[in-house]
Amino acid sequence: MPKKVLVVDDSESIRDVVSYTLRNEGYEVALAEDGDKALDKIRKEKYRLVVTDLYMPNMDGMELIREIRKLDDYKGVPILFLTTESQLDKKKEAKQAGATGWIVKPFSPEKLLKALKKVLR
Amino acid sequence: MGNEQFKETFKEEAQDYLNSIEENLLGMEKNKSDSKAIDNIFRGLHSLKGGAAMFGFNRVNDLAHQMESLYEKLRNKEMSPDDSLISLTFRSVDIFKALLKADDRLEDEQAYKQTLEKIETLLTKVEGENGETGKTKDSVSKSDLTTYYIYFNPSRDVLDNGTNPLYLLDELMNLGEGEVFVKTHDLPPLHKMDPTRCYLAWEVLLVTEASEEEIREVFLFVEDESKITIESLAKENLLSRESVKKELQQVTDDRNISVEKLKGYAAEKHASPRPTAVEEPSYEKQSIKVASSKIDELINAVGELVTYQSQLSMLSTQMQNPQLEEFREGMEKLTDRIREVAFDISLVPLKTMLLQFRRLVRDLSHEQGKEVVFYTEGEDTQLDKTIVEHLYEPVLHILRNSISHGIENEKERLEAGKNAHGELRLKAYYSGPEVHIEISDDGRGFDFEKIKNQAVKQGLIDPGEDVSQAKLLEMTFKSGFTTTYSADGVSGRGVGMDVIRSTLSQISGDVKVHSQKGKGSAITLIIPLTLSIVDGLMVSVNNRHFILPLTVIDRIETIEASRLKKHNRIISLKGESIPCIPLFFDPGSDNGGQGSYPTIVVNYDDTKYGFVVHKVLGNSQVVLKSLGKYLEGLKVFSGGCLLGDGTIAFVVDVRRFIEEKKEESKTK
Repeated sequence: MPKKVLVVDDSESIRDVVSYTLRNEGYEVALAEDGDKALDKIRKEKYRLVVTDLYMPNMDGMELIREIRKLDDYKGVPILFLTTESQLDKKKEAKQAGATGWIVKPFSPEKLLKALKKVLR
Repeated sequence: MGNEQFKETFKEEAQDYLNSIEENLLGMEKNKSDSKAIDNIFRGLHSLKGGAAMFGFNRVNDLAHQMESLYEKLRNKEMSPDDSLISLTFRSVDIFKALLKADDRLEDEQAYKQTLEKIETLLTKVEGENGETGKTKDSVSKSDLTTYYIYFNPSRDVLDNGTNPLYLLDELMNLGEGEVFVKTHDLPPLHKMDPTRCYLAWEVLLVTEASEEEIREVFLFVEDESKITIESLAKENLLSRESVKKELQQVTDDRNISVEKLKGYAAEKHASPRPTAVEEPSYEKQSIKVASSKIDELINAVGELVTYQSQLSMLSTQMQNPQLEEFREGMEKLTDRIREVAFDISLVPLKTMLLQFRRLVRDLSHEQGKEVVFYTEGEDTQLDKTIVEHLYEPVLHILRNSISHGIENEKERLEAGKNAHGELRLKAYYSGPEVHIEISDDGRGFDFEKIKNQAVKQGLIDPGEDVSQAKLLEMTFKSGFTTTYSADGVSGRGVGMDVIRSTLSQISGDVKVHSQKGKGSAITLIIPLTLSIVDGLMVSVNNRHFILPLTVIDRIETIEASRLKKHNRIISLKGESIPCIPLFFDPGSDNGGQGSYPTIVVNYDDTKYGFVVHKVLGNSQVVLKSLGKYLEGLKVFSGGCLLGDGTIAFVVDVRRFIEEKKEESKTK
């Protein structure tokens, strides 16, 4: 069974890059463009990993992470967030919200996969 | 689809970078000490490099990387700009433009390589002048091993956020070699334990070329809330020291590694009587590269060795000389071992060929505007190197067929109630003496109507004839059989299923098809594990020798001659009804037929068959040789081999032999 990963980002090109890279590695990828839509999907299905942007319309990444951690089904599921290099405080805040780790933008496929391999096998 | 879209965005961005680089270059040409221009060019190259790596423009990435290094030197005033450098940069910009336009493909390989070489020369020249940098780089690349002590105590709630500390330890150990000690002293008694908490800590001794920074990077996600100590103990591999090994045996759950003590050992001279050179190799490279032609040579030589060995064995049995007998036994064991090792070397994992298929699936599905997800399973299945070479074409063809004919377009799939994306699976696994590679898709399956029409057209069946689907599928393997597909430039360039089968039969393999209309199809390639050396049972019929591969043999029975004649050749042996086939003789007119016949019971396709022979001569290991041009037509043999006494034995291809007999009995 391929591992299902949910990628949440309001930018289409980022969604494309991430899903393209992950599919190439044999993961099954689902996409959502904001927190609301992501949460809908998450409530319906169990993903093995969630990758989310922080800044998004409607529900942003931080809130999404908090909401996900409220779900019993998602207690141990890793969540990675996408961030830009300078936001150290954001890293802390997101970790407190329940994120597992982060991927710094801009990222190469290698970097993305390296971060992913830290939390998902 | 999406892929193209973001690639385009990158291309546009890249064009901007290049424009800025050119603009600044022009400025630099006028004023060579324009440090702002140099900065801008550097930044442009940097951004170009980053994007190129992300979107698969590898050549752009490589060249940009080299150029960037050059401009870094300029920025650090390690070299000064001159006209040749500026024109070199202009040339690079031209190459970048060409590469971007052609999706990283090269029109002019020569110019690209020359430019790279030129930059390389410049860089080495600068590094040579600044002796120091050259030296430090050298000593770094010599990669001294360092032994680190690492203590990792994650917070109790580390599991809550989905972190698995074991993954991190795995990642750590991938950096080098070492030992991990788990610390359980914080573990509460069972009734107080909360399974969602992490009570464990770890001590690690790691011998690696990696820097402390690289080690810290492993713990990136957890460093804030974990206790982490990383300490360099010695610039050497401490684990190779006997004293350290002894010390580590003392380490237990409760007793920690004594960092000070270990550091002390590092100061000691190697007291062990063995020279260090003997102790070090465990950290040398674990594998070496060998030209495949050398492996072929080795296999051939081993093949001949095996032949000589069996000649020796035969001779020795005849001579009954105890001294020679002893010698033979030793030789036999050694030959066996060499054979096994050589065989093992010639195996390669299927993974080696899968990469190109992944790429192919991606490219083809994009080309056809279909979304196809390609799953692979059993990538580590190992196959004989020569066999893998033969597999490329058939697998390629099957994948092409699946994508262009099997998997429907999105609209059609949705209408059929399927997922929008098609699924393509390649699954490899061992099955007895064979490897099976199953390639399946969830597309529309074979079009049985079409196949039937074509079969009628080619005169294989009558128009009104009721033919089973299995039989129709079988017909697609007939030479020259093709159902219309072609002209789409992808599949069916005159290559059909018949080619797949004939390629496989070249390696004594076979192919099977299953298909369900509307549900998809699965094609299974059945491949023998090895080609060159056969472990067989030697039998004789009318004083001619034959070999049956041991792998298919179930047991040996004896049949009275009278039963063979009476029972229409299906004979009940120990309660099983087994069709028994005389091997190249007619029991009706056979002289040896008064007594009884040894019968070799083999397994084929979940059915047992008996091969009736005159004599069983014993186990024999033979090297398979092809029968050559004139005897190629004898399909029931997979080859021949030279026996110790110089006579020739044929190796029976059990699968084909049975299939042929089935055909014969049908036509009768």
